[in-house]
Amino acid sequence: MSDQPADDSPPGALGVLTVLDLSEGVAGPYAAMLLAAYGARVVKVERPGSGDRLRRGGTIAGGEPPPEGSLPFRQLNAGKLGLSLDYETAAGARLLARLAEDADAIIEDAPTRRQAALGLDAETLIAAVPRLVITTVKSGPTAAATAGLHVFYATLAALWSAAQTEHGQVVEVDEAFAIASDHGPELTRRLGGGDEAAVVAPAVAAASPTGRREGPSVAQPEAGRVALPPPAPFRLTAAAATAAPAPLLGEHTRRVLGELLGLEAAALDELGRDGVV
Amino acid sequence: MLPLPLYLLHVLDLTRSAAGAFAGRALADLGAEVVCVESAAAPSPLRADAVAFNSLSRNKFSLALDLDGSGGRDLCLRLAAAFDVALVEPGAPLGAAALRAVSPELIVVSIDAGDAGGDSAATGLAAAAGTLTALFHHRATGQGQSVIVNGENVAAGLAVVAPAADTGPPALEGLDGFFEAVAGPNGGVAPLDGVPYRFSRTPAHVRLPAPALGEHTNDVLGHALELSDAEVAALLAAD
Repeated sequence: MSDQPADDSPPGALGVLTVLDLSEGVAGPYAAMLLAAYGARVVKVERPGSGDRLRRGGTIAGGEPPPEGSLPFRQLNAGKLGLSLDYETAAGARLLARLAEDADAIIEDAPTRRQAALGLDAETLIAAVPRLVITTVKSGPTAAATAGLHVFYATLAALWSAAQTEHGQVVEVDEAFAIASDHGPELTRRLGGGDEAAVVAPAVAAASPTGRREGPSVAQPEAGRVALPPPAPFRLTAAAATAAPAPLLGEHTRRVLGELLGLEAAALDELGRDGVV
Repeated sequence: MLPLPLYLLHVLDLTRSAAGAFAGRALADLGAEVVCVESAAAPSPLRADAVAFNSLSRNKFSLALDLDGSGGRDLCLRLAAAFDVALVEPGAPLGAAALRAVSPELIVVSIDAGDAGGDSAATGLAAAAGTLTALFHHRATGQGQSVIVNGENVAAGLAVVAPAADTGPPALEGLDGFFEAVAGPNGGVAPLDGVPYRFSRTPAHVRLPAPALGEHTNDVLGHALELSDAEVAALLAAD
């Protein structure tokens, strides 16, 4: 992307990337939040009025009612720009398609909803925007945080590939597979596999610490609009990390549509009157 | 067909922990050339559990190099200068500072698994993601840097995101298509956990079984340092 971040802070490591976060819940939003924390411009696209379902869940911070008080929402969406957009309307779908043209990646967990709105499946969308990466999260039975790390990693790898080759692609992350992968050795053992492919291993005394960690304490709710990102999974010594608060529902709608798509105030007003944004 | 996403990424893996192995595995699965450094005197401790080793070390290469000798250490530093990324951990015979000194472009990922024994997978994944994040920074600036990964911090972040406790390995039902059949050196075929992502244009699979100790020593030294087999043999003999 050629656009620079609006503020003057040094760009983070991922400052060249623009990501549309269409996902709700935990894994997709966590991955998008991590992309934002390390410098990407992440636009959280939510339904006008209601927004991400997580806005109505979890601990409420500072006694503030939904859709703004949810502590887990604020933690999982820190640092994103908030765009309220009903892309199931024709006008909204056109705006989403234009945003996709300017984006490097889309993270989504409801591909059929996006597909119905745009009339485009993921492959057709990528044919129109060749560098686009579309990461589709298939939700598992439990909201597993490590699945979000997998979504983050797989999306980064596809973005890296797109940066080298100019070709994006669809990346499907099945939460059940992701969690299974974390337990790969145990599951392989349960299947009776592994040994047959074994290579000759010098005998070494087994000495692996198996102590369980204590669960760390969860950050307490705080009143006011402060950034509440979870502790970062890694630290870079030569690039800045950002810690901006989660967006209010639709907080940056005019800025995103104005800066990214060049919409004039009158057009934005009309979209607002029509309930598209 | 496009090359795998991390094609041409060269990673020197000096870690010995499960967290380090998970990090290298995530990178190797998506096409990076991950070279694990071990030696006959100090093989990877993960080899003690063959099933786990096969799962964690598939798609990787093994370089036998004695890092306790100055000759081996010098060779390892020469290799690092030709690589993009080095994975290290506390207590490694070569530390982050020594590696950073060989090249300003090298990305050195320090993985401190801490006491998070149960979270080595998450810590490794965080390290792999940190590697790619630093690669984007390198692409923009030409600079390498250190990436600091601490298992306690990773666990603390995950606990905030989804406070539900880790429920352990999932049931095998519902995992259709996840496992892959891998050929062993004795002609057998065994199931192994697969790559958990589906890339539409760069499908990633188990390409190589876990390496035998030192299986790729000549290939790695020959290619990276542009040496003939005879020159490699002479170097190793001198060590």
